[in-house]
Amino acid sequence: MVDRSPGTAAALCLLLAQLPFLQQTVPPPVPLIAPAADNLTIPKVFHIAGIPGQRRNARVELVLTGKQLAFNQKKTSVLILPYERFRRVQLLRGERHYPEATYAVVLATGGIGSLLLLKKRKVDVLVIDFVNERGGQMGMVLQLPQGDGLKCKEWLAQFGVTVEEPPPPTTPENKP
Amino acid sequence: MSKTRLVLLLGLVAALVLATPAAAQKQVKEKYNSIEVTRFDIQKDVEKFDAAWLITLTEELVKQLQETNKFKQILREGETPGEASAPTLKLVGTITKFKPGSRAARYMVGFGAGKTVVKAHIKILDKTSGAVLFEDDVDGKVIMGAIGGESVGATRGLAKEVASKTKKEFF
Repeated sequence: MVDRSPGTAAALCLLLAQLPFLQQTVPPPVPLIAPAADNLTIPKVFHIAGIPGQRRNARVELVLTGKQLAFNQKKTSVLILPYERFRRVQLLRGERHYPEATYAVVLATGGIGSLLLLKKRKVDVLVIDFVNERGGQMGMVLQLPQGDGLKCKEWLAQFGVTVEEPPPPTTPENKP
Repeated sequence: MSKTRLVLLLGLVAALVLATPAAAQKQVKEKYNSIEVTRFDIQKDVEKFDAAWLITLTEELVKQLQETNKFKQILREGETPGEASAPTLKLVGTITKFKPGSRAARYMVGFGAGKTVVKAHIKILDKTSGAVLFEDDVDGKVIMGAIGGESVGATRGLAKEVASKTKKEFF
């Protein structure tokens, strides 16, 4: 004799609901799309002065996050500088020569290749005054590809760091 | 007064006159093992020596003083020293002349063309009392070098001269 009580029916329904093909498939949550850049990365930055242990004209990668500025070289972090230690940041205009390329061209073509030295690459110069862990005043000079200095300025402004841009001089300058 | 006594008296006076600065100099020798490096000022009529040059010069000064291997501590301006009571020197200076030069001119013309020059007047003080222990004019130049030489090398030249004079004066 078949039991036809409501409790039994309910139990049967619950049992059937466990069957996979009868379960409603819940669509997976839409993955959060991370912002296009959680940080600002600028490759091909030339170090001029200020990073301990780095020679002048060494190439470093500059990574700006929400809290700090990091310098990477060959996938190794060489210095991390929190924004709270900044005291003044300036964006200047500068120029770089092509000494290595000039030397190669001179060897290949003779003296005429030295004319390449007349060509200068315009760069943005980022000058950062900051304090070290012991409160000592320190400074750093970096040369960035032209245009990247403005990106740094806009990025830092989001986090309360003001970048000064002194007016350009009236006469050409020869930056270090 | 006999001639002999006069000569002896003059000799004694001369010895005292000569010995006093020598004795004072001997007092500063080997006394200081810490130095604070401050950022130089720029004389009003000096143009184009901007923040980038100034910071590069300061970093070169610290580096060259470190390379003398004579100082236990080389402090930055405002830095707390490890040994608070240690006698400390303080290096201050003023940029008095700057000529940026031209790398292209140095390489293609030579003979002194395009020379980069940085000159400064430095003072080394006792940090505690403020007494001036030494002052002098120093300079750094780039006249030639690989593919004309980097203009910023003038800061290295100036820093080397500062380090050399400091070492000679205090050690």
